[in-house]
Amino acid sequence: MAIFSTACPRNCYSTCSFKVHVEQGRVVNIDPHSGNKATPEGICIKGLSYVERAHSSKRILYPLRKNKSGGFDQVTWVEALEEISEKIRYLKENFGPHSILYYAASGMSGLNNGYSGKFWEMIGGATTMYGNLCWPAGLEAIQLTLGDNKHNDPWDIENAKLIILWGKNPAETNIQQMIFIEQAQAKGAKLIVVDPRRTQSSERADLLIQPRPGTDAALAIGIANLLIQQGWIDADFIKKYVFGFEEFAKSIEQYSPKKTSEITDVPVKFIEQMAYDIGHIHPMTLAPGYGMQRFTNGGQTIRSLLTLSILSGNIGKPGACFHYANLQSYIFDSVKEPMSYYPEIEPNPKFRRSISMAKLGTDMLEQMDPELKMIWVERGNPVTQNPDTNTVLKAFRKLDFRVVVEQFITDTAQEADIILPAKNMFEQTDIIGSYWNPYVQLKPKVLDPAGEVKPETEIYYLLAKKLGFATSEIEKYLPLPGDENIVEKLRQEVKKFPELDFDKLRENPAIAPGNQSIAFADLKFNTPTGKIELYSEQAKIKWGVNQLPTFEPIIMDESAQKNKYPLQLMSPNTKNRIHSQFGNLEVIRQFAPEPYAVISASDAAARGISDGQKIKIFNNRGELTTKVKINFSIKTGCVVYYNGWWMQEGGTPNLLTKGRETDMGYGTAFHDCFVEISLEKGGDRG
Amino acid sequence: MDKGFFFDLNKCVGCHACVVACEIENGREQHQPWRAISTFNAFQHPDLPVFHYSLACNHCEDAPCAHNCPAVAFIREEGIQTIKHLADKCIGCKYCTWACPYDAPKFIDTTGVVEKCTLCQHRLEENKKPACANLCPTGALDFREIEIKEQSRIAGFTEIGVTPRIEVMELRQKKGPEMAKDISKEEIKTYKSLSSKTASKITLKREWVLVLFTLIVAFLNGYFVAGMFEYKEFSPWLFGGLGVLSLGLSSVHLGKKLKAWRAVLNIRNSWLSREILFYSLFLSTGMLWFFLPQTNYLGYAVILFGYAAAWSVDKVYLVLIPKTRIGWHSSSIFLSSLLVMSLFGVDHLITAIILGIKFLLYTYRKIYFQMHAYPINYWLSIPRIIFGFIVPVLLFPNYYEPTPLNFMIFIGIGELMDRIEFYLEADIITPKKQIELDLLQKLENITS
Repeated sequence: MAIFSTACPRNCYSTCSFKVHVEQGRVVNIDPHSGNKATPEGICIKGLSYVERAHSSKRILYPLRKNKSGGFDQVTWVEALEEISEKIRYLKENFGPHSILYYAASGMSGLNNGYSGKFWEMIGGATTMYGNLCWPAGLEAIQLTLGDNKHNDPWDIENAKLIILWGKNPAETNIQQMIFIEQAQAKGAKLIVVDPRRTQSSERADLLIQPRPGTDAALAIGIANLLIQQGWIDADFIKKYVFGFEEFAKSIEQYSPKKTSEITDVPVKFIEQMAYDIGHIHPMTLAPGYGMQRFTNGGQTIRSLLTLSILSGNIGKPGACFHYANLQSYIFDSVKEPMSYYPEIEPNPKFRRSISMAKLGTDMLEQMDPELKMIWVERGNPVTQNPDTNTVLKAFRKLDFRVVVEQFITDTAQEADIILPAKNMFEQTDIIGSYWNPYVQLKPKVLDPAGEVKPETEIYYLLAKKLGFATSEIEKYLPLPGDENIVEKLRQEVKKFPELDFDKLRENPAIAPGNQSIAFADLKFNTPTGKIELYSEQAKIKWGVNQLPTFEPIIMDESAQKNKYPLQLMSPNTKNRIHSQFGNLEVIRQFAPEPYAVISASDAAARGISDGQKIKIFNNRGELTTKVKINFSIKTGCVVYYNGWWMQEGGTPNLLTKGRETDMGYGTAFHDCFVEISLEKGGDRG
Repeated sequence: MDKGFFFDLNKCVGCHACVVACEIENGREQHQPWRAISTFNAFQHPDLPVFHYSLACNHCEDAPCAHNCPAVAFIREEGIQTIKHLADKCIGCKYCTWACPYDAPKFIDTTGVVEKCTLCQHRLEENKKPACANLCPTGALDFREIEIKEQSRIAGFTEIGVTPRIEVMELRQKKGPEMAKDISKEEIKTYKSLSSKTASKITLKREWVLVLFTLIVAFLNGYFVAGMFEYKEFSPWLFGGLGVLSLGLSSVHLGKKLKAWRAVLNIRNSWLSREILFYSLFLSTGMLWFFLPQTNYLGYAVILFGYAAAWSVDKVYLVLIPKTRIGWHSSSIFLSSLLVMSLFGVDHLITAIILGIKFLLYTYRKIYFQMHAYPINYWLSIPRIIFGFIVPVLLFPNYYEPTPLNFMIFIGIGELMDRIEFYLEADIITPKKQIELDLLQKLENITS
């Protein structure tokens, strides 16, 4: 048996290091990796499920082609690539390369992903995507305010005396963070959680504050106003390092606790309590989640939350930070997030057209000259995960040709004309960073690809060959087949940093060169004024929002205003999935066999619904039927239906969401979403 | 100091990694995981905390599985002191799954035997922690030197004097988070009913053969005494036939019928072994008594075995959750044996006394249930009282009259119903059940 050090490449805070046991070409077990101080104890159930996932009988092992009855037949690589290359050639000649949409998402991270874009550049371009489904509104908000997206090392939370989890549920989405929170609590730290739900992360909290979804900015501003009114602020810090304090203070005077309470539905005493704590308990770490910024007011919301850390001087000190995203390990990126999500400002002639991630369905349908004819999807499941599933499906079905590179028959793969089998994390060497911990990690190839699986780099290489490119030409863009060529390329990348040693990375993760353990400890802020910008001219110029953080009400559809859809849909993540991944595995299915909604006991009673019955969740965009669970602590007026369920499994929450962009950063405002629920006819327990 | 599990309620977030780690390590299907998470206050009453227990086998000092197993299929390993289950010794009687308050032994239909957590002995031998403790992402579950002692009662955790090898770290904060959410009176009712739905591990549907088996034990006891003292003609065919039938019934639920003989190996500790031994002796000596010259000495021995068997039957059910404060149940097989004996033996005074005792026990139990808001099945209870008590009183024979047949039939119907109710009401402690009981208790405290 061989044991390898590796790291989990999923779109997840933790980015755990772990050790994988390989025996006779199979992953057989997993061990914790103490070399990563952020994830020393063990990996979550999704990570453990790799033992199944690597060899799952559901995995796609051969190229598949859709047959007339809608099923898939196995075809050879030659046949599949022949058909795809002919299609590309035909479309390029007749409609131009921009009739092809290249869509990639966050399914697996790694430097090798960059080669995909290179391929499309090599063949003359394609329509690409701008924006992101996840977090750019918040990234942009922080970029505008602090100049950089970084926070203290994860384990530094242990030093905090006040911890605020604002819309974040690390117990399910960043489990190791709970280690450090618990350590801080064991030393007497106070924990406040802000969330309309009562999550696992709030169980050991001192205080749970449950605002109306989408009103977080008002809550933050109301508290900020109290801090200023009461003088519970770090005046010295503000004077030295903050730009725009006076303007901000003046702009929020109207947010009395009473008014704040009216907007947020949080009792005045809790607003006052929270303000008092922030004003008096130092150091404070404020850890916001990513859900709040997926509203149309998302960027302004994160800017508003930031003011609490700034006014109380909780930046750049041990135990004190705004714990949103830590991009310090992304040392290999040429364009940093969130800028990498912007459409090309000076269009590259080859990628002169890009469409919105948030509005994928409508944008695809609206493209003219040329119309979209083909889509290539990799590392993503847009049918399930982009807003407004019905429109996305319509747009997909309007195309002439769809290629999906996948490990499993997802909802998106089901729409494909050709499915190409995708590698898993053990089948190609790569290097990954983390947006939470400060490590650069090597993820070696430990298995030969299963069946006829080929890594994307090889798929592109073969496709380029089929398209008639000479090897010498291809080499300028892509690595040659074989993992040794990937290793060589990565070795070159690593060489750019003398602090890193490629071979040592095989044993242990390495702290990224230049990492600031205490972010902003130098109190240098990469903003136009060189200070923390409460007032940001850039915010106005780039995004057309107020220069100051403001509370903007979220968008209510007209029908919601008329009370036709009075409930707010929340679609949070659970411990069982990373977006739409993992839920199909038996390991996960034993804990989450079917989707369900959660509603408050009072919302249920008002509609004659009881626990375990089938309900319909609906609005003017779509509907889904699901079992319901009654809960006695969730905020009344909220319906929870968890993110990531497939249409095949009962329906994605995106059947109900609308494709809108966030106020900044080209994020996706899934969460301005109102619905109604009703008992499904014949909705008995079943 | 000994090694054992250390579990910190403050750190566990219910992530299930321990369950999966166990499944991977021990190469098992996912149908019956050895380790399970149980959640306190899953429906989130605003005034109560939510917390989780991750439990498998606690390899108790005084392990109730080993104590009660009739086939001596559990042994304590030397050295590391794990409680080891020996599959080749197991007869698949499932009695350990009743006896263990941690729900550790799992009966596997496909193999016909029980299996359970081994404490990853193969890992311990290599100086590694069990897989569950090795891979707990928050460090809530550990394996290390602990102080093995009787736990003070922590909400949701059972300690019935078996000294589990686990140390539980209590919650620092005994309440959930302070929050603005209120719960109305109407909602408390819903909350209560949703929170008290833990299915009993013992169901009539699965155990109906035991209704017949235990009633036959009582019947044959009375029948033999009546036959021996010549109140009734003794038919060896009826006695032997019912005896064989009852033994057959009792082995129906054995996973390994061919190993049934092992069931008598734990006479020293297990009431189940005693029951089977005494009952077998009762049946065999009973037949001997008929075919040999019918000596009274042998006859007395048969009676002794019979009542010892009936006594043991009652004791087998000591592992159930006591539902009232009195240890005696109205459907006690010992009492029923006496009742049958008195009926066949035409001793109306004893019949009256036993019926009286049974009536008192029965009504006491029902009133106790009523007072504690336990469910009462009126479809069974009312007929049980009418047929089993009221009608017999109306039909009660005069002192010198022989026992009327219809009188006996009605009493028999009452007994059958009572025994059915016994299995319907039967429940055993599991982690989930303990949580439910403690939750309802806490709820009473905060609402009163």
